Amino acid sequence: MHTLPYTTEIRPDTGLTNPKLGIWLFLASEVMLFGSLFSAYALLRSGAASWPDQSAVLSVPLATLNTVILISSSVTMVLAWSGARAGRMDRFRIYMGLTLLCGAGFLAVKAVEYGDKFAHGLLPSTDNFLALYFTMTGVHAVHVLAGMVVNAFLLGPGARMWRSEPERFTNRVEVAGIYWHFVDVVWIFLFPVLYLL
Amino acid sequence: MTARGYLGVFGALLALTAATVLAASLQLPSSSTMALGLTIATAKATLVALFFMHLKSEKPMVYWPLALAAVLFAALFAFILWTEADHIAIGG
Amino acid sequence: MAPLKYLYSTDHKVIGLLYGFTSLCFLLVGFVLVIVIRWQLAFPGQPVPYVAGLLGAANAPGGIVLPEFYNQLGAMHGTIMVFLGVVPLAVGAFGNYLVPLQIGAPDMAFPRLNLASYWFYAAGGAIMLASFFLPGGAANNGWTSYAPLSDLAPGHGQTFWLLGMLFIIFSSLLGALNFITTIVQLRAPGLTWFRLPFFVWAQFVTAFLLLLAFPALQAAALLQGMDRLAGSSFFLPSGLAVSGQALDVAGGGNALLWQHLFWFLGHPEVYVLILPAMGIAAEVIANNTRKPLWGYRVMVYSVFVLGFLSFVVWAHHMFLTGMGTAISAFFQTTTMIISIPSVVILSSLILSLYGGSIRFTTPMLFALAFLPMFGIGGLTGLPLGLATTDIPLHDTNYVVGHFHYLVAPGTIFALFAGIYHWFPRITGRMMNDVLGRIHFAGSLICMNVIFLPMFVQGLAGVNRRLWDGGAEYAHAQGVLHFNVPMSIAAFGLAFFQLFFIVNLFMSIRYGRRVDTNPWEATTLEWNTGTAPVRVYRDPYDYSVPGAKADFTPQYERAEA
Repeated sequence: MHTLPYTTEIRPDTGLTNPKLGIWLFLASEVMLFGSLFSAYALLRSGAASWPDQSAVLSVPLATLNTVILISSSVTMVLAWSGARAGRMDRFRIYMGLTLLCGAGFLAVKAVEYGDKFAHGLLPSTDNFLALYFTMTGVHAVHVLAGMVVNAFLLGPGARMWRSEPERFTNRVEVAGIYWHFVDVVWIFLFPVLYLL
Repeated sequence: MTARGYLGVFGALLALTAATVLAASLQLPSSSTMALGLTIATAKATLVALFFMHLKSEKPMVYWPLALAAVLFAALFAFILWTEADHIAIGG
Repeated sequence: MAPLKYLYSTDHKVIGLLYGFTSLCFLLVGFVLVIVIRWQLAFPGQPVPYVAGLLGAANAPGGIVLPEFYNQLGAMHGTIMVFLGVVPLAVGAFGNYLVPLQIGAPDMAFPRLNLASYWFYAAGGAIMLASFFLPGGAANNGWTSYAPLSDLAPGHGQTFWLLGMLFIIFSSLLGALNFITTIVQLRAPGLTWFRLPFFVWAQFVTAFLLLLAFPALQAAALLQGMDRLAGSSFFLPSGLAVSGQALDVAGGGNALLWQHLFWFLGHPEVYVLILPAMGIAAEVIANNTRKPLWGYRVMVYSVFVLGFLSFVVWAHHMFLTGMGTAISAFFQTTTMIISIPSVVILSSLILSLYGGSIRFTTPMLFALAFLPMFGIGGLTGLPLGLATTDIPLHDTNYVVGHFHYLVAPGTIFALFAGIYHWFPRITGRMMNDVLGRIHFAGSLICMNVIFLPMFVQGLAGVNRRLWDGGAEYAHAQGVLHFNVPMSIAAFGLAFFQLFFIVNLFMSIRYGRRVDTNPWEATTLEWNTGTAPVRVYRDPYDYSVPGAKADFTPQYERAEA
């Protein structure tokens, strides 16, 4: 496979590398995916005869914790990239490890939340609020998991590229980071919409 | 951006998170809570996008698809509600 | 013929051919389904000849198509043709093969993602085909899967449809970002935006449509999946009763939510169906008139306007759902406006013929026929885009005639033009001309005999998707007789495709060998040199005064 132009070096007239443009295009489609789900929420809630008191059904403290966890993971992610860019693989490893830990923590809290709901017989079939809650946070959680898989790859076998092509590796971390921050942004909207409003 | 800068943004995000939880606990009328919650969320998202995602220094070729997605999301959201408004008993 | 390694190659030409072969097979499957439908419509209640055994006793006892099976045929014909046939051929095959070549790029921007896209598509297709063998059969709720019927459809066919769509959509999203990145980033030196062949512009806009519209259907499919598997009520309103029994669900859902999300994708999807075809027609016409496209720049602006507007017309599929007059007026207005860029592009292609030295090659025949056929399809859309006239026409055979004119003698003709045109680039041989002309003439006549009477039937009020073609309705009696010649024409259409299929396979082995640029075309895909490409001129430098030939390739240096 020949090396394609602008995989690592920037194309002058666009100022971009291919992966950089690619990930932003992917995120544009993700905006439409989550946007569709938020639109469904808006329609179903505005058309509902009655709507449960969301903060009474769900745990605001756990969700606040998860918000802090995810925001922290965004900081550690960008610091991991910063470390890689500065040539500090030790910093990269620590911060990427913390990012993974935060991701795992987020999913663990979500598991606790879901388990608690199921234990009380609160299911997607109970009412549309719960259906939306499970679906929207479920789709989000799948995205968190996917991000964690990529991050784990970059921390593990993917890190070998650090030795052969450090710049390309750093760009990969940046692109993974952009995806990860997006997942954080989605949660930033899910949190108030599902828990607080 | 320096590590210090990132941590500064982190601090702002934590503060805004606290603000949003506080605002919700104030038991304001629901439309105000909604407006406040979404405004704060937008502010947080903007900080993450501009600084963590480096959107502040990105190129036009990235802005255009994102702007298009934003416009189309707004259109999808608004027209669904507008079209179904006649069937919906708002606040019912 | 194909060693196993072709199945995991990341080369865009190989992947393009994988898409091409797979999508042509799916087109054939979709066509076979409709042949059975057309038999049933012409001879309702009569056993289907020859293939009765293959249909299965559950679907067609004694070879007589049951209504439930008829509905499966209808839903899967549409689904397979649109999502597994036409788009993968137009975008996956033609796009993948030609776009990198036409922009002078070594490959797509993300070759491995490209391969992944193909396999997600193949997996989605396999799931769709497998659904026919489920106990309850395949999905049978129309290609549009409207709630609440689809929500409540018994068996797993509809669930397989949803799962298959998720795979197909994921494939398209990855493909779309690949196309956009490739066109933006990998254009050869000297290939400025307004030197791009119109085909590339068409694929560029198409990719944006796929990227930003498909996620809505993905979301809808997830929501319907939750309804079917987790018992939620996203699309189930309160108080719904089925067969007299109140449904034991939470309710509070909105069936129209499905329609909004579906058509948010559905409308841009039809432009995904037509834009690559316009791109192909443009290339073939410029080449066979030996002159540049008329109004190239205006066509480019039009295709962008068309793409953008296609996102804000979707509720014209929902005029009968009880929307208010203001919002209805909005969608009627945008729908009328979107016809403008459409007409501009069609007119430019027609005007491109004026003053040209027209070569009536086989690809050109298909491209020429595309023009009036697309015109008929587009014009018949006008009464559908205005709410008042849509009221009697909605969900009738008129609609079926309208969109089939656009897709069959429209898009598919352009795709045929493309196959005949680019076959020598792919294989180094020409397809047989005589067989090609027979294929063309037979297909053109048959398609018109099939689809023209549909307008008459629709105007008489005959609904679509009726398993007996409307035989039970008094208002249909006067137009039912059309079904017989329409079906005979459909069988005829099948017969004439044999000329194409035989030609295709025969020419791969025995076609007349040609050199690298038999059509004397200007665009980069005909350059098979190994030196890095540099572009010096516009895409259609045909008949340039003072030039040594009646065509000057884009990679040829400008005179000093």
